[in-house]
Amino acid sequence: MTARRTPGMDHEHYTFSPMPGRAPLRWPSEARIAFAPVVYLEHWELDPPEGTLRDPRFGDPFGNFRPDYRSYTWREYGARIGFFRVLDLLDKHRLTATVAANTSAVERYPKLVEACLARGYEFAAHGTHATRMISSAMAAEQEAATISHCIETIERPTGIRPKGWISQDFGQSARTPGLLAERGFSYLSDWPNDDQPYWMTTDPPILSIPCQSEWDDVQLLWHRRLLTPRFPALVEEGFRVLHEEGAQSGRSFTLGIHPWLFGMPHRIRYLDETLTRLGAYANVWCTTLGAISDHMHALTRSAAG
Amino acid sequence: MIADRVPYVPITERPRLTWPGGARVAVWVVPNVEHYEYLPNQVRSRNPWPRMPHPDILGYGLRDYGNRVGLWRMAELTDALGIPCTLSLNIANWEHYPEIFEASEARGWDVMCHGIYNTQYHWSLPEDEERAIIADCVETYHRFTGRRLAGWFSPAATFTENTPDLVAEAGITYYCDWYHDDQPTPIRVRNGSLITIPYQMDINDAMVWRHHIEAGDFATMIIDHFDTLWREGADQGRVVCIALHPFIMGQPHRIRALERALAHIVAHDGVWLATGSEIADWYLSQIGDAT
Repeated sequence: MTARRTPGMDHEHYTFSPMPGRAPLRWPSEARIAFAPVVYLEHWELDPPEGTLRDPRFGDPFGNFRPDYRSYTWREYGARIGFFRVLDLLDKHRLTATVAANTSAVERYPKLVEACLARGYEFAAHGTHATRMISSAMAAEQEAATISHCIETIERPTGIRPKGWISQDFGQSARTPGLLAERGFSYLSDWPNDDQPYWMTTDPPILSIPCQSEWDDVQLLWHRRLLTPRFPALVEEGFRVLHEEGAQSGRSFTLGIHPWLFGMPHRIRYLDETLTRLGAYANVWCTTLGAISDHMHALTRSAAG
Repeated sequence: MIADRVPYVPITERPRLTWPGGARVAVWVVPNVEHYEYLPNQVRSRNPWPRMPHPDILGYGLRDYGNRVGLWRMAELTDALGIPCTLSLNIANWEHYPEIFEASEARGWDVMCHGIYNTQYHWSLPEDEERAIIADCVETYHRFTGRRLAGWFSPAATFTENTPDLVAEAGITYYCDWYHDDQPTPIRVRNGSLITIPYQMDINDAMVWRHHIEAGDFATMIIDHFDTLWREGADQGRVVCIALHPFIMGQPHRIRALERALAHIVAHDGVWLATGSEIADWYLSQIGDAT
């Protein structure tokens, strides 16, 4: 379907909104920027079933063979070792994270679920497996069933129905925002297209909290192979500029942390340095994606009321 | 096809090219203002979103960032430095986003057309189809501005052996798919005339971004590029092109690196901050005298 060359987006999910024309966004306590760390709790299958889709950029440099012990065990390292390094750092910096949780990881790693619950982390649904993306190749019924399965599987051990959705590897079909809204999700954090949350035109409207992929650890350190020692200054620079702009109108800042990657011994110190640098700024709302969503929903309700 | 479109003339064997006011270099800054389709239907010669079955909201959303946020941050910077931009424009961008058209016109930005969509590639297009697309762009640009389209850079750098001929036939003055020189040069076409202006696929954030190179290094590349051309410009005028994408250099963690590079350029004397059309018109007025 070639786009129709008429004003507006070439899809139905949201309207075009250039930054200069927007009403100022106000965060609680006059904060300039809302900072939400997102920790990924994922499970990578050793042998994913035929017909499932994974991000092809996770190829092995020596070729793609089955079984892929290397990818499987590297991800398993994240759950056995790396996750605890990341938790320790978040504790040290007094940060409460949003956990992007695969259902298979929730079932496989109850100790990690427990550790996150003990810290008051928010659980957001993150598909079923790190090896199974949603895409338009998936049948509509299967996609709907997958989303419902994610809600139930996270609600069971946590006691809380997830209000947020984070797609595995940015995998969406053209149906996904609508299906999420129908199933009662308050927000999704998938689209790397903004520095502020915005409403999608689903029924009911779902909040899109931009996932800032340019400094997501996997995008930057794994796919683009930037050296990790450069990460702290780069992230601080983005934060500094958004913090400055946030004096006029609030900005949001997400930081994606994958324990299999940032939890490696040679990388973890740079996550520490990053969080130290960000911790030096005043007027920052350190929060979760769910709390950002609650704030935005409340603002909309009060504007309507 | 014309066998040798740009006959070889080494830089050492040319009459001196001068710029207005005796400048050493003409500098043009070219933000690529684009639209990539959410669901492209023409997967011809290259898949725009090869990562997965379409849509791919990672690829789409990141490019959308340029139109929603990055362009405006970049415009604040070029406004502050007094730099006139030449947009490399997918013409459908203005059709989708009238706000961007208005902002461009309010600033007096120039336009070099970059096809209709950046997800519609021209490789292997039949001649009449390519001709029709170029005509569509010329007409659409005229409908928006009342002006004649002066420049052409094929969408996503995809072209055919006919492109220079068709661009000339459409009444376009300058062309930017060829990277053979530091100066504008004539390029042979079937009918009429056409010149090339140096555009950049090396000093280009989109090329750099595909590798593990970040904004600070890109700023150094821009400065090194400028310094060499500025030095050589004492004897022979040169063109400095800086090719940008708002979805890349308009990001918050990159904007100050761009500021460092552009401020370095603006701080020099002997710099003509120009648009593509101004460079083309000046060059044509000069070679008219020289030949």
